[in-house]
Amino acid sequence: MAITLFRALHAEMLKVRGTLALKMVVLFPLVIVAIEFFAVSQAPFSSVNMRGVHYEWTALTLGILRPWGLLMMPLFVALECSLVAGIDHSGNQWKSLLARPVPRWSHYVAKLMVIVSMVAASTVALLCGILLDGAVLPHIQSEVVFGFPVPWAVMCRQSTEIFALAFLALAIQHWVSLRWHSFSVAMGVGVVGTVFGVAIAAAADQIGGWALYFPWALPTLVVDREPHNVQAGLLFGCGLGLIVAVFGCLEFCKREVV
Amino acid sequence: MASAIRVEEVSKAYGATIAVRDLSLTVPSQSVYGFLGPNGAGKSTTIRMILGLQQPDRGLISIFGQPLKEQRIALLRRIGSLVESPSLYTHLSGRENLEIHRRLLGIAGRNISEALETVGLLPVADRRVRTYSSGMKQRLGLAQALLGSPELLLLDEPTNGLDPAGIHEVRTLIRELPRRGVTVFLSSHLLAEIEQVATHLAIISRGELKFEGTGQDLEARSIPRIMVDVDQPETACALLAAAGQKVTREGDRICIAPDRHRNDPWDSSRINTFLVHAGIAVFRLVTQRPTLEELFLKLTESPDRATTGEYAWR
Repeated sequence: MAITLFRALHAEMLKVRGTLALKMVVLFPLVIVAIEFFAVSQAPFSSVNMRGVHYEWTALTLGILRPWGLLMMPLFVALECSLVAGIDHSGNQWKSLLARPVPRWSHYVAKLMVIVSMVAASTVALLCGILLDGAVLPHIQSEVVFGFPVPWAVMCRQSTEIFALAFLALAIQHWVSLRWHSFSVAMGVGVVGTVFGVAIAAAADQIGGWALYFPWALPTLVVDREPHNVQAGLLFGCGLGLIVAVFGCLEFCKREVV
Repeated sequence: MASAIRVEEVSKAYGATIAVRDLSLTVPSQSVYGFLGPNGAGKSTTIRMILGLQQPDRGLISIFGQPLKEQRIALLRRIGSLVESPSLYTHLSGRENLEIHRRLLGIAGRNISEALETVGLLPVADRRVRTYSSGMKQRLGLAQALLGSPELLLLDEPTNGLDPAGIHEVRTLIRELPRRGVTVFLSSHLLAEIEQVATHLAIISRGELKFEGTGQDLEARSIPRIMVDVDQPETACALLAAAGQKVTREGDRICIAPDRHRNDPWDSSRINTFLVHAGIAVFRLVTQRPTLEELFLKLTESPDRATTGEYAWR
């Protein structure tokens, strides 16, 4: 079982080499980091120094994680799932892949693992970007002072929580991307989910905190203005995400290659 | 001879459309089994079912004597396939494409160079596939199928996109494979392609098996026509028809299709004697056996296009 999964994973890793999906792992976090860099360099007090000194790192991290969790991460997940599935949809690779002596579930799980790894790698890239912003900004904008030590624990915890909370949306996107060959369908689901997620996060105060349990809004639990119970969100998101992944895998195994 | 593939009364429908109906095939081991049929006859569906990519609605498929449904993964280890156009990752090189399949098969790396050499792609193995010509892509698809030294090779239109030299090489390769212990299941809609390499033939049309056997068996099933040139074709036709013969006119030429169901089918000598005794001058009398292509067309033509009287069948 582990051997066939390893074989499928090994093959998946080669498939993504040189693809847009792999480049996006760096490009997506880079966009947010660059936007925040520009914002802070133009108006330092409105963002990182708002709460006074010693909070710069925390403010910068939140300033980056908020749009990341709310907008960029769900879109990134949708794009990665669509692109990775598209590698095998194009030219109907399934008819040769699924004719190999590897169980179908291995392909599904290996692809899921590759996407999870890509999202994890982009989270690491985002953390590196936060550090880079913090290191360069004081040289550009003299009013910005980043104190030390860097609050590693908080930064890592928050970004990891956002990553884990995105798992439910990722599991849904993965199934949708493999179920329908069309790139537009998979991206459409991701964009609609993200738009609803943004709207729900904006109106959470009015409609209640439970609304943040909408799959594409879950990451905002970490950076919400009044943080809700992240632990409950993690339990819900990861638990339901696993159920969706198992359901998707079973459906994939039964599907016929036309 | 043991059978490599045995398909027993398999049926498959897509909604209301029946793709394959009660299909039974027996593919002998170490044969080149030509699977012929026009486009949309159910060839690809059959191949997909043999590979376990699709499930039959009814019937059984066994490979090397083992049921496919229960032993699919173990059997796929012994099968190589090229279904329709080759499935290739164009952003990767030819070698990397084979590497993906090598990893899935869990075999040694040297197999890649061997497969590339067999199809003549070793010099361009490290070029990206998007720069390959369609013929090179087809060869790479073949290399993919040959990877891991399969005992059974399922090839669907393997010479698509190849130039004449490439077609010749592929044919030579296919002919060689049975000597290495490989059974080749070769699907095509082109009789000429199958005719030159196949030791056994199956013809499928509209999802139903029309013929299974050797080329000689197929020829033996046909009845030759007798073509006669005479000075009075109209009179000759009327006389022959009155004598119970199936006669058609092709211009000035008379075409007679002997009915083998009759106790005394007329051969060319008897027709000649009959006409001469009736005072008709016979200029030319030829017995014409239908070509394999004509037999194939006759077997696979749709009922609404069917004509009568050209050939008779047992």
